[in-house]
Amino acid sequence: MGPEELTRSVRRTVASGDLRRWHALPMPGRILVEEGDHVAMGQVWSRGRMRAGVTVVDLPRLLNTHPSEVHKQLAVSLVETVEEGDVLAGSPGRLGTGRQWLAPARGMLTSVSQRTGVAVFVRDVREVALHCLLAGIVVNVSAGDGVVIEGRGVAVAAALGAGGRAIGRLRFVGAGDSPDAAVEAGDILITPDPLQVGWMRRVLEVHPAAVVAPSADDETLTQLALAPTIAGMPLPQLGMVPVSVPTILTEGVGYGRMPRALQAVLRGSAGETVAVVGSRQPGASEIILPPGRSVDVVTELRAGGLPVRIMAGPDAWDEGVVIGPAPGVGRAASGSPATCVQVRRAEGGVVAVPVSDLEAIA
Amino acid sequence: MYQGSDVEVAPGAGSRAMVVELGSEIRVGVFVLAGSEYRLLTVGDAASTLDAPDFDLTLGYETALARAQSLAGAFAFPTLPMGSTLASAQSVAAVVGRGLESGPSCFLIGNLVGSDLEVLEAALDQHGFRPVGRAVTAARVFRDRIDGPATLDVVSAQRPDVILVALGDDHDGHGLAYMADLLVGGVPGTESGYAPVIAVVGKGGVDERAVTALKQVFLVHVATIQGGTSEVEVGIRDSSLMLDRVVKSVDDRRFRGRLVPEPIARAPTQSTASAIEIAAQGLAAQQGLNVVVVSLDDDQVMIAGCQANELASVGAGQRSDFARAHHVALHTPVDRVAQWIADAPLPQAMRLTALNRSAHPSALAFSPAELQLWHAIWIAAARQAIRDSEDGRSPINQEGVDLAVLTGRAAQTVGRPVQAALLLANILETVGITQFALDPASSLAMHGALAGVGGGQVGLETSLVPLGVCIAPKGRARPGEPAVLVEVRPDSGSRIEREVAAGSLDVIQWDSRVPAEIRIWPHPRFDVGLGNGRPAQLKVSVEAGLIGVVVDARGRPLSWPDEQHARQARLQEWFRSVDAFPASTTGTVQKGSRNGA
Repeated sequence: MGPEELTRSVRRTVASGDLRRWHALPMPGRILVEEGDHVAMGQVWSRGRMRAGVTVVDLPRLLNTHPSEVHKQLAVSLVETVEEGDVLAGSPGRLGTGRQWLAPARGMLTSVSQRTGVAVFVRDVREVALHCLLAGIVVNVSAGDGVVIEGRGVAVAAALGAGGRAIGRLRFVGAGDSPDAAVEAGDILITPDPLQVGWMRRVLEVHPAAVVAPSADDETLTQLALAPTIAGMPLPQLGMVPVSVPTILTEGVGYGRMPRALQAVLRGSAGETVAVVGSRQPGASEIILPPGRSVDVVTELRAGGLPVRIMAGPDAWDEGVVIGPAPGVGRAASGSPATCVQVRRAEGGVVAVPVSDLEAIA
Repeated sequence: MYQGSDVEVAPGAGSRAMVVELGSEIRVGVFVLAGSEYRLLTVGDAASTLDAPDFDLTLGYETALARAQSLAGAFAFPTLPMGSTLASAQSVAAVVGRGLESGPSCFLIGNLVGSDLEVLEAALDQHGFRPVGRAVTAARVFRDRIDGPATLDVVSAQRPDVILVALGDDHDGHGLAYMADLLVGGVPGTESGYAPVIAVVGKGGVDERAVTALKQVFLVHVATIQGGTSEVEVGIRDSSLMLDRVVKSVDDRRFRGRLVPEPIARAPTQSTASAIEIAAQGLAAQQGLNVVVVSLDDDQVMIAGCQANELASVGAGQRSDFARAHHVALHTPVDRVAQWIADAPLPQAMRLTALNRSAHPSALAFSPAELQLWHAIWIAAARQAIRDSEDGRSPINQEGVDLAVLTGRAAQTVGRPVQAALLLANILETVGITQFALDPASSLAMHGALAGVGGGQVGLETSLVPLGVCIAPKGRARPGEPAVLVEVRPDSGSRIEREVAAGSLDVIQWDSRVPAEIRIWPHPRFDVGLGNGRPAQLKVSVEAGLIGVVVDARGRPLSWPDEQHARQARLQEWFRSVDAFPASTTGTVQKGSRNGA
């Protein structure tokens, strides 16, 4: 395996330079940008409404009436907030024989078709603004579906995530510290230390836009409801602190610090506006940095050899640089066949590691 | 008996086919035409770049192609047109992966009369639609017969690619208007993000107001058809162009949000599940055997059997989209996995493994103990899939399996061949005499995909490596009592005789190049297929393969002591008896690593 092939065969978690991001429109909404538009990170590209707790009812069937008669039997006005159990339509009737539609939750009736009598009840409607995740040019607009934006920057893939998207100013915070006065609401907080529940509680008090950490142990993940549980595994009854902001882990589950190379890349954008995507879908969480210092840092790091993290084995989460092939080593410690390379660890020493256990971090 | 064969391809052979497999890795299988059938030449692989931070498959594809080229040299890609790159010049015969079904899934709603419905369904079939449900009535008054909200619930749960509303009689327009109000009111703008393509087929015309309402929130295709009288057959075929457009719309959405090289985007697709089914059928036909294929991957497990020309399959973790999924362990009950672990700090170790392997899908098990945990998860998931089959019974006849094949990530990562045999035996609980084979390159799905897209005759057996023969007598006795005596008579070398006690496993090995006769004498309470206590002799000589003969006298169904330590001791005894894992690590999990796995 030659040096170039070796470099390319390591799964990479950092992309630097030209980025391309699909921005999906998850609801009917107005797309506010056009092909060829220059957009800034954080710029609103669409507005719409997201609904939760949607119930659709065939009122003529329920009330045993003709569609044209349905409106006469409505007990509430459209978009009027009602409480669970309130009568939405119908009448009690004598001897309790009448038919009624009761509100399934606190919410509102949002539409009743004049033509067919089909009615829609919604528990919650939110006005949603969708923001550009990177600065660049809108290269494609797909009506009703979304837009594609191309621009320059650095994208860092996360191992795990949850909570959605956020855009804010990047701030580094130590895990042992309470956020200092410089941290403002709406900032994206990055800690190089493993996530802990107590720290997270303190951090949430300053209302950050998002939190980025390297790792969290199993108990913390469960308490913060950051990852799905295994079928049949009981949840702890106490101490749950479900996080309400996008949160991503760059490394994974366990107790590992953020590699220094990755810290250097992220610190390159300290104080700048960045975007975080926290998704439970594996492979979808990331942090997007603007072009500038971070791009330079990635270039500098790569000039010194391919910086990698080791993801498994006794050296798990150590960082280092790939030196070259490890001839004569054809199996992982488990016995599984593997192509191995030599890695010079940042802490010293050279180890042979399966290529599949490495991730490029710059 | 199953006959393997070597790949024999004339140098310079120009006829080749390329199959791309998409998963946590992108893999490129290069097949060459040898005689009348395609045979696998090499597989090049690379980490997939479909996810963050790239969302662009090009880099991964180019790397996998370069790897295939470095493995096979110019033999794989003899010539390139001037100015073209390897990635752009290669046409892809098929793309296989989880959720890459060959056609759009479709939910049919309508009020066509029986004969019209048959014609429509034939047209859908012809265009490759996969029906996942329907709410149809032959009554003219559509709305009186179809429970719209209930239909909407089913649609929301099934999430078909296409909702086809076909109305034979909608003279007042209320049929389509009703469905439009239901779909517009119930589907879009929720957190699910589900947005199907709507296809409308209307006889004699459609309600334009309803179509306009649908178009405000969905991608809508409309076709008007004529006929449907006693004299004129309904012109469903008139909607053919519209169905083509619907298929294209769904295809265009398949990789939405990702950049995919043109050769891959244009290629016909096949889901891993159906490709494995095709492979099982093909192997059964080519070898004239009853075949079961067990495919174990990080995100899904699948078992497909073709016995007596009947295909049956079950799976777990299968999804309708190609996006990366969580490890199959997340869907597998902890207590089921615990049954197959000799000693591990479950459930924490299992959760750590599941989440870290979901996050870092290419990482290998770092120790034999972790590999044991992976195997335990796969065994539990596969057994649960069999148990959860539609009628609650195994779709596989355990007493009629001639050849069992292991493929998928499990096949690629086994540390010792006997581990593959244990996986097959523990999942399938085969009874009698079964040949075991391994697909170490995990290329069977690629073979199946090539065959499935009409790629011609495919030499399915060329990717298989014989593991050996498993002899599993049926019967019960107290542990330690003799169960079966097996005699191996190699053509050269000394005779080997082994008596195996009830509850035990053993392996008989001999020179792998030397064929041997095998004779079996079950004890009176055991049966290897000819009746209790009746001896058997294999009709043909067999080669040892990678393992030899596995004698599985554990009884069927497999059982364990209830007490935890006794159960763990039993498992360790099984592992030790066949030398499945290094002795120093059997039954211990390294607990000190910082990622805890």
